[in-house]
Amino acid sequence: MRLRGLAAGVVLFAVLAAAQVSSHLAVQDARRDLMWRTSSRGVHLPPALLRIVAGEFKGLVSDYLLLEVGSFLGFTQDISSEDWDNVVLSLEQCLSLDPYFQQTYIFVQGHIAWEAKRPQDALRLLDVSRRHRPWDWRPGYFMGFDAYFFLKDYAKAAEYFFDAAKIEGAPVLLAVLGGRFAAKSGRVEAAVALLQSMLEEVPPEDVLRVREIRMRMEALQGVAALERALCDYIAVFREKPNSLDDLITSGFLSAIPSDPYGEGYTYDPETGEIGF
Amino acid sequence: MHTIHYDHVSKAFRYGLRSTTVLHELTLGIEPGEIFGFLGPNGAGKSTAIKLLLDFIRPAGGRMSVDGAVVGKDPFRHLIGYLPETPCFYENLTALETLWFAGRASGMPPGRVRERGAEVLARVDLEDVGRRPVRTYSKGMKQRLGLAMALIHDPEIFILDEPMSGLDPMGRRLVADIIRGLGADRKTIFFSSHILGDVETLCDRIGILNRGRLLFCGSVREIMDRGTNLEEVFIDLIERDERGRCG
Amino acid sequence: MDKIWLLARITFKDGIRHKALYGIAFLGFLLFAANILVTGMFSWELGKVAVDVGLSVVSLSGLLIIFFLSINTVSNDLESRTIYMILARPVSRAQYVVGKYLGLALVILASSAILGACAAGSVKFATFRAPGYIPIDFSWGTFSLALCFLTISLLVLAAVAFFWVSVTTHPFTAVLLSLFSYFIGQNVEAVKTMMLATGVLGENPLVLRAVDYGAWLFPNLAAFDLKTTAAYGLPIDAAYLVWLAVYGISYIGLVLFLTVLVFRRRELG
Repeated sequence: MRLRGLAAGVVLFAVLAAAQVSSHLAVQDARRDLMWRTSSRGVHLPPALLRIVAGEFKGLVSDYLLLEVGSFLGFTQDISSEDWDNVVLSLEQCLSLDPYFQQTYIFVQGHIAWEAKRPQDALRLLDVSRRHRPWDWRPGYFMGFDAYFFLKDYAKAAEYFFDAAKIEGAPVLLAVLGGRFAAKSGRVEAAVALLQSMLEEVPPEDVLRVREIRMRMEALQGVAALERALCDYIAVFREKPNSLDDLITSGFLSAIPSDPYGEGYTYDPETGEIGF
Repeated sequence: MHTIHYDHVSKAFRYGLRSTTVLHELTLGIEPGEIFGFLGPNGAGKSTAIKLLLDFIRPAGGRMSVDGAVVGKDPFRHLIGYLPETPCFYENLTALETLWFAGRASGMPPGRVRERGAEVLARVDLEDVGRRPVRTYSKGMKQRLGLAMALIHDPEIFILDEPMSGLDPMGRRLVADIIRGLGADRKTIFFSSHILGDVETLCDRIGILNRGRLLFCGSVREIMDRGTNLEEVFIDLIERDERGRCG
Repeated sequence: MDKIWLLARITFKDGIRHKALYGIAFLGFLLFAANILVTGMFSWELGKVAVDVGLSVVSLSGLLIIFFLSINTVSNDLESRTIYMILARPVSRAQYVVGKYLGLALVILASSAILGACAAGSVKFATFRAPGYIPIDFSWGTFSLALCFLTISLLVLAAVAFFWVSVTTHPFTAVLLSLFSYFIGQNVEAVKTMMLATGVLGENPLVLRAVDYGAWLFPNLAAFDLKTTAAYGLPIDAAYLVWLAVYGISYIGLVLFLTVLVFRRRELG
């Protein structure tokens, strides 16, 4: 009698265990793909409500959100524009819960500015960190960089650099950048210096970023060379050349530097501006 | 054959690191059809002995049997009606619903359960409150409901742990009458108590337990030969036993 | 078996009449009213928010029932010896465990059904005023499925809670362990992925192994969360759902099996 009960028990256990193991593996497998399709969507609560819900655990929730976003980006191959929308929203929530965290703005700079190529969003997010960390020159520095590098807005960049330069411990470069970018002359050299300093911040494994910065530096150096030749030309002929080729024919430049972006340098005979 | 049999049953409880033996090789046999009273001071081990019999707790040594069925191995609970020391129920159910469960769980057919339910409630004087939830009952009412649950399936063997506790004199009288009635029906009744007056009048035989050891087991008459009344003999026995330990 | 069903019935009856349930129901209705308010704070995809809040309320109520009702009921049975009333009958300990669990499961099912209907109602009402703001693919079918699997996840947690009560002596410990199990269950998947993706702690093989075992031992409750799928009407694979259901039910079965084994040896003195 008891043996029958024991046998029944063993059979039941075996069936349950088999079902559990096989279903566990099946579910795990299925979730590997499913997970990332939906996981970029966070909890879309308005920041005020999220603050209330998080209560005394705001910092913790902020950390968790950051980790979640980080792991999503680390794992997903193709990140759609919609996904980036969600990521930006998550970071907004992150910042609304804890605007003081350094990791957050470094994350923003790395991913939103560079990877997502959304400088406007990056600026907006970085500004939150900047306002809450008055002792930290980095957010402003990043903002200046983004304004210059992505938006080509020298004036705005100058503004950010100037403000950041006022902070105790800020590198001298920032003041220089502020000055040079505000003015018309000396921008190119200042920009090269900025890029050089940014190159030191970027981890060498981030090959893409390093490459882009180097390319920009190369382009700028090309511009610098062209501008020097242009200055020499004007000093001699007292008027601007009609095209860049004139600089070569008149002997002030041996060859037009190759533009790393492959599009060639532009020249506006009216204003004398060289661009790429 | 004994209806209820304890064969060298021992039990120890662990409190933290220390272990206290609560029953020392208890050997006791209850004859069919008799009313047996189990006496002893508080903490003597009476409740423990009864819980062991119900297989709620397991003995450290020895074995027990109920009507031939070995406790822990063979099924026997359909043979008995049990009343715990302080019966507790699901508070939101009514007495009738509780009795319904009791009867059906004991294998009674639905119609019979309804009949017996009403009958048994009347017998314990709870017929007016049968439809009220148990949480509204007083201690005495709960005690009587517990007894009703033991009665409903009309078993041959009754195991009652302090059936008179929490009852006023009327309640005690009622229970005593029921026990007497069951005795007249040749049912076997094994109950524990420390109210000696009731035991004296109801029981055929009694057992006296102190600190897990059986000091006496015999008929009421035997014990009366030793002194004027049960209470005196009881106290005397206990005191002597205590002195024997310490002195 | 008959006796299991008998036990399930009285557990259900007793549970459903519990005063705490009225409090939880009231909370539920309050939160649904709040749902309508909250959705008003959003300017787009109200439907998604309404579904989110609605299903979250059902989930929250289920959790409250587990932590404040279910655990209490079982530990009460044990502490105040109500269990004697049951085990004095010819009911085996295995039948007690299964019957009792079934009764608790029925309470949770009832709560999910009632509050689920209210959730659906609040979603309908909240979006009634702005029908253009419902995600295009939203369907009531997906909503119902989300509700179903949410309930299964609650039933899994209830089984785990029951196990903890059987193993511990104090109800407080059981509540703590159940809460602990809930958090692990919800996060084991996320933790595992986070560790692998961010490389934090990922170097240490011991920790990885521990997390792996955790993933097997503890139920992956996050897998049952289909709220987002319901809100957006995203496509779900039918096979996946079947596996998920098998996962949940077999897990419940195993936990109850274990609980019976533990319970059989438990001293009820």
